[in-house]
Amino acid sequence: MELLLDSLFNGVAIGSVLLVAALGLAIVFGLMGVINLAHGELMMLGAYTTYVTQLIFKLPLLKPYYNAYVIVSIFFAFIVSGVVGILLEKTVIRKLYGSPLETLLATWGVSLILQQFVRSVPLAYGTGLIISLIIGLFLPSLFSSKLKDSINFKYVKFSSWIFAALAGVLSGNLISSSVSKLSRASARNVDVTAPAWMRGQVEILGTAFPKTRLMIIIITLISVIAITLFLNQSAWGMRIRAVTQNREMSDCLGISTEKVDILTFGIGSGLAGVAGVAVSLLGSVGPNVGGNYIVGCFMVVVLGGVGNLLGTIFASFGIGIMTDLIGAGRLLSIWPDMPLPLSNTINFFATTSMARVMIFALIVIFLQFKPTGLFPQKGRMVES
Amino acid sequence: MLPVYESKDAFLYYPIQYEAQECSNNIFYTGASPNQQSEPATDFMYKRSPAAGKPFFLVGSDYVFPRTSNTITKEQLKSLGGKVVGEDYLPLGNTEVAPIISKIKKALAPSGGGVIINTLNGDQNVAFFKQIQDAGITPSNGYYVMNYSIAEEEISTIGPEFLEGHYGAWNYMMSIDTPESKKFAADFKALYGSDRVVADPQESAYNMVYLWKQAVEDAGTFENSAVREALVGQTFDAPQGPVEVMPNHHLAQTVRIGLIKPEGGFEILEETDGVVYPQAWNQFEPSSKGYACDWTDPSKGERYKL
Repeated sequence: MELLLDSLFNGVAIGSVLLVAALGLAIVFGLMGVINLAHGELMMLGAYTTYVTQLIFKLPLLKPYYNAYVIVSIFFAFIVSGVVGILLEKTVIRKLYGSPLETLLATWGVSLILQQFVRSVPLAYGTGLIISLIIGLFLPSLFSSKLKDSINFKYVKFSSWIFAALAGVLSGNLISSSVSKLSRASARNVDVTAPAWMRGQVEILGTAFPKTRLMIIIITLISVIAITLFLNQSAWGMRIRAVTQNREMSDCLGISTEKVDILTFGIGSGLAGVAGVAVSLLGSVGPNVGGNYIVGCFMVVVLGGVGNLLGTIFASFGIGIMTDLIGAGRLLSIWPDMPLPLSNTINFFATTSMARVMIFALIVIFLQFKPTGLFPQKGRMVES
Repeated sequence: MLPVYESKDAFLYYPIQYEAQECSNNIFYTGASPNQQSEPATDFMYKRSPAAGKPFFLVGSDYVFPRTSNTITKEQLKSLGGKVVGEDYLPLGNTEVAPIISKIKKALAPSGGGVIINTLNGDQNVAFFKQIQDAGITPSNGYYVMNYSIAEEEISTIGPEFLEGHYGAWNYMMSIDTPESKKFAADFKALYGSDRVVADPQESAYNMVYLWKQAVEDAGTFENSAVREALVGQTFDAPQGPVEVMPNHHLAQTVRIGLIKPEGGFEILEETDGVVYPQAWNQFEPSSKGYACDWTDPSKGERYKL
C-alpha cells in the first residue's frame, strides 16, 4: 500500500512538472497551430525572474517578506514571460501564420537569441529592459477612450515608449547598484533556494511528502483550473475558442482576431513562465534549462492530442507514472520472485536513461495506432 | 581530444580530477587520478565515516568519468568486503531525480542509511541535493554522500544548507592551514574579489604553470619535446604541499578528506602523511591491474607489465 502511494505520488510529481511546462505549449500549439521552439526559453525567463525576485527580496527593504517571494515570483514570471511572448507574437509570429516550418525555424532562432541574452546582458539591465517593455506595451491602454479620440493617439504611444525607456534605464541602474550579483553578466548557472517553509517534508496519512513537490503540484493544479475556467467561462475565452474554430467567421462577426492572437500567445507564454518558477525550485537556473524541457513538452502535447487540454493532462501524468514505474524498477518490488530473464530485462531498463528510451519507444508505437494522439481534435483545423 | 593531441604531437595540460585508465605522452595530468581521490575516499567512507560498514549506492552523470570511476569503486569495495546495492546514472541535462531517489530509499533504507558516492556533473548536483534533502535523504537520517566533483565553488553556488554534513575528497582545500595555502587563497581573493573561493582545479592549473616554467628554464627552450623531458622530476612547493611530476606524466599529490561545513568550505578530517604516487592504470580494476606507465624509459612507455 505504501509502495503504491509512493509510486503514485512520484508519478504525479514528475507528471505535474511536465504538465505545467506543456500547458502553455498546448495552448499555443493547440489553439493557434504555432510551433514555438522558444517555449523552453520562455520557461527559462520565468526561472530567471524567480532568481531576480529572490535577490530583490533579500534587500533590507523587503527582507521581512522574504518567505513570500515564491508566490510573488509566480505573478512576476507570468507577466515577464507573457510580455516577451507578446513581443514575439507582434514581431515574428504574426508574419508567419500558416507557415509552420518557417515558424519553427524563426522561433528556434529566437530561442538562441534569448539564451545568449541571459548570458551576455547583466540581469539587472535585462530586468530594466523587461520593465520598459511592460510599460511601453500597456501604458497606452490605460488612457480613457475619450482621450484616445481627442488627441492624436500616435503621440501618446510614442511618448509612452520614451517614458518606458527612461523607466527601464532607471530601474536597471537601481537594481544594478543595490544587488551586486545582478550587475555583471554571467554565462554560469545560478541557483534559487526555496524559503525555509518550503524545504523538507510534510507528513500526510503517515507518509512523508517533499514540500517542494507538493508546491509544484499545487501550482500546476491552480494553473490548469485557472486556464480551464478562463477558456470556458469568460468572454475572452469564448472569443479565443471561436477564433480557433473558424477564424474568418469570427472576424466577420466583429471579434478582433489580432487581439485574440495576442492574448492567446501571451497566456501561453505566461504559463511557460510559471513553469519556469516550478523548474527553478527543482534544479539550477541557467541558459540551457529550456532545452532540457522542450522535447518533453512537445512529446506531451503530441501524445495528448493537439488542441485538447484534457489530453495534455492525461499524457503528462501518464508519462510521469510510466517514468517512475520503469525508472525505479517498481515491477521488481511488486513481484520479487519473477523469472530471471524478465527481471534482468526490467533491471536493464530501470535506470533514468533507459526509462526515457523505453517511454519514447512506447510513445512511437502508440502513435502508429493513433497518430492524432489520445484525444484527437474533431473537425477541421483552419489555417489562417 | 587525446587522438588529436597525439596526431599533431601537441601538448595538453589537464588539471581536473579524472578516471585515469590512460597515459599519453602528450598530456600532463595535474589533477587527481582515482588512487588520489576516489580510492582514499571510498576507504574512508567504508572504514571511518559515520556510515562505516554500511552498503554503498553509486550515482553519477551518464558519461565516461562516473562510469569508469564506479567500475573502480566496485572492484575496490569487493576487495574491502563492502557491498554496492545500487548504481544509477542521470542523463546529461536531465534534472528529474525522483526515480533515483526511490531507488536509493529502497536500496539503503533496510540498513538504516548508507553511503552514496556522487559523481554527478555540475548543475545536476544542484537538482540532486535539493531533491534528496526534500526526500529525507540526509546525514541526520543516516545517508552520507561522498562527492568527487564538489569543491568550494560548488558549495557556495549550491548552498551549504543543502550540503552540510556530506563529504568531499581533494588534493587542495582552501581551509588548509599552511602559509603557502593561505597566501594562495589571499592572492586569489585580492585579484578576483573577497567573496570568491578557490578550489582544487584552480590550484592544479596554478601548479601547472609554475612546473612548466621550471621545465622551460631547465630545458633552456620552449620546444615541446625538450620541455616534456625536463618536466619529469620537477618538484614544486604548491599551495597543497610539495608536488612532483612522475614518469607517468601524473603528479604526486597529498590527499585530503573534508566534511562540508554549514558556513561553506571543508573541514579537513584526514590528510595523508606525505604524497600519494599516482597510478595511471588502476590496480583494482581487472583489465588494468598489474600495469604501469613510464615515459622516461623507451622500453616501457604507455603500458607495461609490472
